[in-house]
Amino acid sequence: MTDPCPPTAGPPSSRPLRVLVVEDGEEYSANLARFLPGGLTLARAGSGAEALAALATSTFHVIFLDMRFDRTPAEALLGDLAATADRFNGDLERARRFLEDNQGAYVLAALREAGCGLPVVFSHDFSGEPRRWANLEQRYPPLYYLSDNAGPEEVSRCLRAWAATGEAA
Amino acid sequence: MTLSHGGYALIALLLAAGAMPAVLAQVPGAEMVELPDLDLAALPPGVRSVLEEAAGAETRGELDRAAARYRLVLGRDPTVVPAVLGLSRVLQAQGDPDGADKVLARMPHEVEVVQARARLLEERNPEEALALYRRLETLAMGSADPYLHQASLLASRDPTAAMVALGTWWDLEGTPPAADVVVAVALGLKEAGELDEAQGLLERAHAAWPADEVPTELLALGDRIGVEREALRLGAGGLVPLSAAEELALQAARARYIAGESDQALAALRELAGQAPHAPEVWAALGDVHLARGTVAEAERAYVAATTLAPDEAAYHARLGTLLAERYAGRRHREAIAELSAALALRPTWADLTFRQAQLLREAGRFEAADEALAAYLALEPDGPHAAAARQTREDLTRRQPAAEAEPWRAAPTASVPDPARQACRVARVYRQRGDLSAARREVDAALTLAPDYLEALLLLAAIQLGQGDQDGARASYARCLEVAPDDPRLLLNLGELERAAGHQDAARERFLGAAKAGAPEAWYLLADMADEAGRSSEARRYLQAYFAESTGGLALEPARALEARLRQRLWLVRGLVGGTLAGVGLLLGGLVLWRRTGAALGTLLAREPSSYHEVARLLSAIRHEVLKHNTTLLGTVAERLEAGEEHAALYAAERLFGAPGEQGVIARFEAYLSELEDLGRRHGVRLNLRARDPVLAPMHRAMRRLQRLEPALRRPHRVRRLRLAAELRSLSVQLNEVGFRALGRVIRDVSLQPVSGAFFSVVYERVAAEPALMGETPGALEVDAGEEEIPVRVFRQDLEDVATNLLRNALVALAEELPRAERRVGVAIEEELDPVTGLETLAVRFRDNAPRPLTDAILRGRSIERGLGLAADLLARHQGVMSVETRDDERCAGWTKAVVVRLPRAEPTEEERP
Repeated sequence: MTDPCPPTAGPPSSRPLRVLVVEDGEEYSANLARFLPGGLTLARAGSGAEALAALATSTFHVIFLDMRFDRTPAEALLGDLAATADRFNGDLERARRFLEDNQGAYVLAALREAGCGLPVVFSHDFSGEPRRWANLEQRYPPLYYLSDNAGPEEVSRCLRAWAATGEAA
Repeated sequence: MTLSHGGYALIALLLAAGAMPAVLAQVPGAEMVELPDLDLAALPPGVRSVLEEAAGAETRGELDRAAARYRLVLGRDPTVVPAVLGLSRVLQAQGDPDGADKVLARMPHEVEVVQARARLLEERNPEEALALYRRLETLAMGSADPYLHQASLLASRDPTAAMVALGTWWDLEGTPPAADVVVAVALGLKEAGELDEAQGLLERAHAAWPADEVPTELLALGDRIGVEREALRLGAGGLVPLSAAEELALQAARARYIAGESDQALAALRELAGQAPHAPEVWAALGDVHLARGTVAEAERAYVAATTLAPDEAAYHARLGTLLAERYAGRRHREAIAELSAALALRPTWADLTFRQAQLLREAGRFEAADEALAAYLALEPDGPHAAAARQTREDLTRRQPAAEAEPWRAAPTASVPDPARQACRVARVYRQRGDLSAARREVDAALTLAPDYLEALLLLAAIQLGQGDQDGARASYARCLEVAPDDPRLLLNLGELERAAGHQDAARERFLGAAKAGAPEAWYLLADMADEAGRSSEARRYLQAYFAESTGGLALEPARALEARLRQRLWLVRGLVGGTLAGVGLLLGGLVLWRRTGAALGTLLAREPSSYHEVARLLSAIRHEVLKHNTTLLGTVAERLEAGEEHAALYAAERLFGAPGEQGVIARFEAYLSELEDLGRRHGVRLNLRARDPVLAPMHRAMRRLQRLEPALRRPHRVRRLRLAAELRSLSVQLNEVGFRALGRVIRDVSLQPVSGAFFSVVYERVAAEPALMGETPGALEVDAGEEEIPVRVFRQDLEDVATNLLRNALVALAEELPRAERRVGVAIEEELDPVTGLETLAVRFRDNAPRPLTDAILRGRSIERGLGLAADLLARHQGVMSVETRDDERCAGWTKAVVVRLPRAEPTEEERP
């Protein structure tokens, strides 16, 4: 796979960048807020519903999306729990874990369904899942990902680069 | 009563032949037959003598002789009641109840005879027995007994009439009847739905006993009836099926229970029972959980609710009956039998339950019914797992008592022993049997005065002395016996045991050796036991060898085997210790070093216990996500900021990594995960030493310790050299976020790839079809519907083979049972499925057949799984797979009656794994 975050993807935007961070905790938001260089404005949404609400009222340039939402209450998870349980022989516990582990994909699907065409950057390492990445990229463009162990500097650089692609598009 | 001349002559002849000893000699252990004085007094002396002789013979177990004597009396006078009763007893003892009945039937107007006949017929012909008891109401007017027997007989047939009879008995006697009769009648009333009457009867009985003496059975049944009345209220609206959501909740609760989370399962089931109180399956599941937790009373209540709501469901009756049988130490067998009978009435081909029913009936003393149940079991499963035991038990139940020898075996009378001595000895024996040891002692002393070397009397004396607690006296008596019979092995054994009990070990050993040499193999075991006690294991082993070489069985066999096992184990331990002692000192000194160098890495656990893989993967993923991704990824950035002079970055890092005072920081969380992994290893019998021995986690642990040591510096960055701190943080970032992060990922993906194709299943099919039970029964080849591409999954090959084997075998067995061979079809279809939301791909394998009998998801989910499907489901769950059923209504099942669908996540090969 090619480097998902090319060192240059068009001229970096100089205007303030508004990033919507969608995560179940606040580690990314806090780390990014603490260490990102100036020119980045962050907002945080703790669930898919909050993300949709934020997008309805504010303008963002790029969405930074966690994949795993294991701290979100079950009722706030997107996805049909009962239908998912059916896939696991009625095992509600397993269904809930599946929705938690893949909640980022459900949020992404909801965003696209709501007409949101912003670039979305997953905070999840897809280098070991190229087929899955290809399926998601084909279905929900523009889509990017950063490895779990990307530091704030790398995150900032890539967000700017991908936000620019969104503007270009 | 008169005797003919011939009769007297016969008696005279018998007297002359010495066939009628004047005094009865009793067979040890036999019950003394007592003839009523009144009857005897009315008889002519000759007849009385014959009668006494008959009674004596019966007491001694000489049944043929007794029968002959009784017949002799009856031949002269058929109205001699004691003879009628005696002959009927003897015939019963000889296994001829019909003959006994005929004898008793000759005197339909004699109270005692009618009573005896009624008792005889209670189990064989209860209707006739009942009629006899009713006749006794007139024959024995004023007697309460007939009513009690009627109540007992009618308890299950006509409980209302039984209650009336019991009430009559109660009124006549003025005291409460035996608890078992009350329970039987109350149970009968309960079974007939007359709960109010049953409760009323129990309350009356309860009130008649002192508070702390109420029989447990009564209390238990009273509670039970109270519960059933409450359950009836629940069942008043009939059972109500669960909604889909409730069904899911029930399955989730069951899954928790199966996963060992019984607290959570109990809470969930209680909540569900509150929401759906008319669902018997919820109550049954609640009962199961309570029983597993040992809360038997709650389990019983739950099962009663289930049976009340669904009285036609055999499984619930079976559960309740099994609980009553197993958890009340036999006190509620009657009720247990009733429940199992209800289950078997609904499912008469339930072989295991039939066998269990037979066991309970036997334990309850209902031998004929037990025999019938065993016969029923054997008819169902002539080669079943209990068949051998069932046949043996039937044989034992119907075994006839052997007829006694015409002349009982006796030791040859000692020529030098005078008759009075022998007589006194016999009298002493009778007194001892009756428990009158003082009188017995007087008689035996008299015998020994007349014949000091009379061995029989000496033995009896020793037995009496033991009974009186006079061990020294008994030892002396045995010693005297040995003077008369020095090589009698039994004497030597007895004396040896007494010496041992008195602490005379040497004397005991000498006696045991003598007994062993005289032919008592048990003595070798006793010698081994003594040697073992004294710590002489080699000697004990030698004696045991001798015991096993000579013993053919007996009571010492099991203890000898147990001793042998202990000695063997001790030998291994000793060898190990001897080997270890030499290194012991070195071990102590280097203990810490050695501890650090022992223990296994995670790879050892995964290699030895592949089933632990998914749990390991879960914990490693958690470390990657919770510890690294969310926390240590900022180390590199913090290092940069420090280098740029920004000390606050360090303070921020300290907060995130170590938490506020009193909080658990990220390092503590990492250590907790390591401990959890080591606990997992312990559960699988592998001692892990991850902090020192694991190639991935040990370096991470060292890095975390280095990070921990930086806490003071990070909290007070102004006091440290920033550049040095930054360099250390960079190094740690590489160690944790790059090296460690990737290494953990590799372990998580380390279950090898298993490519799945049609060929894989064809090979499994050939193997299953060749199994002996299926040879000649399989349809032709497996019908495979799959593409050319092999689809990889991450599952242990053996597990996938086991799943396929069980599913194919299940299909083939169903086909063999349900369709002619020419019509049977079995196939496998393989395809990939894509989840459009998550992008995840799944391998779906459909095991299809055309056997008519349905299989549904509900059967899979309800865990009432037969034929290996349960194993397949468990193996799949281990690898994040699932199993479901599609029926002919599903378009993907077109052309088949059903498909068992196995789904597993499609794996993505790593770079190394890609061709």
